[in-house]
Amino acid sequence: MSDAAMNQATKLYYEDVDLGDEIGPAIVSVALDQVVDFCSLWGNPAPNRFTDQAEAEKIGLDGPIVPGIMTMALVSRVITDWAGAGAVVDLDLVFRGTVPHNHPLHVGILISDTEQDDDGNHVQCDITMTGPVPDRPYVIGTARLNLPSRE
Amino acid sequence: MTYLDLHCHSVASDDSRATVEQYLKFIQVHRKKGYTIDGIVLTEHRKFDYEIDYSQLAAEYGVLVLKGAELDTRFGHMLVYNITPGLGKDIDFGDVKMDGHMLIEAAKHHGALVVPAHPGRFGIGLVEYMEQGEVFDDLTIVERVNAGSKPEENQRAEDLCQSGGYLGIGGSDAHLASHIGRAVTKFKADIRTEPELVDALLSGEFQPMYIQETAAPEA
Repeated sequence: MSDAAMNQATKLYYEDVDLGDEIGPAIVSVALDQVVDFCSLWGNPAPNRFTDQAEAEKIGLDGPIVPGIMTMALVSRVITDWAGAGAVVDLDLVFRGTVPHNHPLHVGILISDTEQDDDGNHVQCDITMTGPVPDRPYVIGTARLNLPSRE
Repeated sequence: MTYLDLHCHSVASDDSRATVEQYLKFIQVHRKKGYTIDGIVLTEHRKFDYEIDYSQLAAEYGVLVLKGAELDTRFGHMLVYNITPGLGKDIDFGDVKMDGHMLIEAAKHHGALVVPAHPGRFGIGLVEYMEQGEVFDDLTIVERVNAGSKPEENQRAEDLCQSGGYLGIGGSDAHLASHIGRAVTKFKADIRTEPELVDALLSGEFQPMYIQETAAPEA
């Protein structure tokens, strides 16, 4: 699916998704000044391992990395852009590598489970974040959505 | 003939986010695309649940579910098939520094079989230890195709098979539902149980492949 399709303007319904559907990947990147702003708001002002080469190297990293909670926010935004505000009820990510700055980050969504019950219309998405080459992911995880039904 | 994914993790492993039922549901997606997968072997990290029974789920979805484990050793991760209570008594599955040779020997004693997982993986795979001089003449099979590894890591595994004369299996190493079955092992034998799996592995009549290779050729 194209980026345009991901950024859909129309409301997403439960009936619009099928097990196995792939959405994206959406391509995002994170610039240093965005990380500096994020850390400042978060209460962890620069310089730190997220913003500074020397600080990162002190703890054995190759360079500064995107903070985990900022990565979660990015992934959440990608899902929300596609599924609509309020759709995400849970996001659970496993970090399998460090997420670099100034680097294309490909966020893929794949529908891995669907189920309707009295509590709603549940959709589980598998999430992967990789570099441009679909290699071992930086991040894997799942998002649970609750979508409206047309019925 | 049997097509099995010999390496996957359910939520019983701390880094997986897929339930067994989600795997079995997702296998139906593969089947709709024309791919063949008859079953999976759950290989949870550092543990084995003797009691848990997936036979009802397996029957509901028409997918064979067998159980093994992926244990940490000081020579990398090792898949173990046909685990028995006797093996569990002799080996501490939670010991992340266990001697891989000791595990191989104990498994053989109890009718189980050890296959090193992702041997070509940089930093942690068996090849790293072989390059340091460790000899593994007590092994006959390694995981040649791991769908979670980089292409160059699987190439290292293939090179190992070529140079060392090892046979190779395939597995997805799935931690997410949609990753199940991405690599499988095609066996000549019909397999329904863990002992039959070990017999089929010892027969040498199998080959690893990616899921796309399981599609029946168009008529």
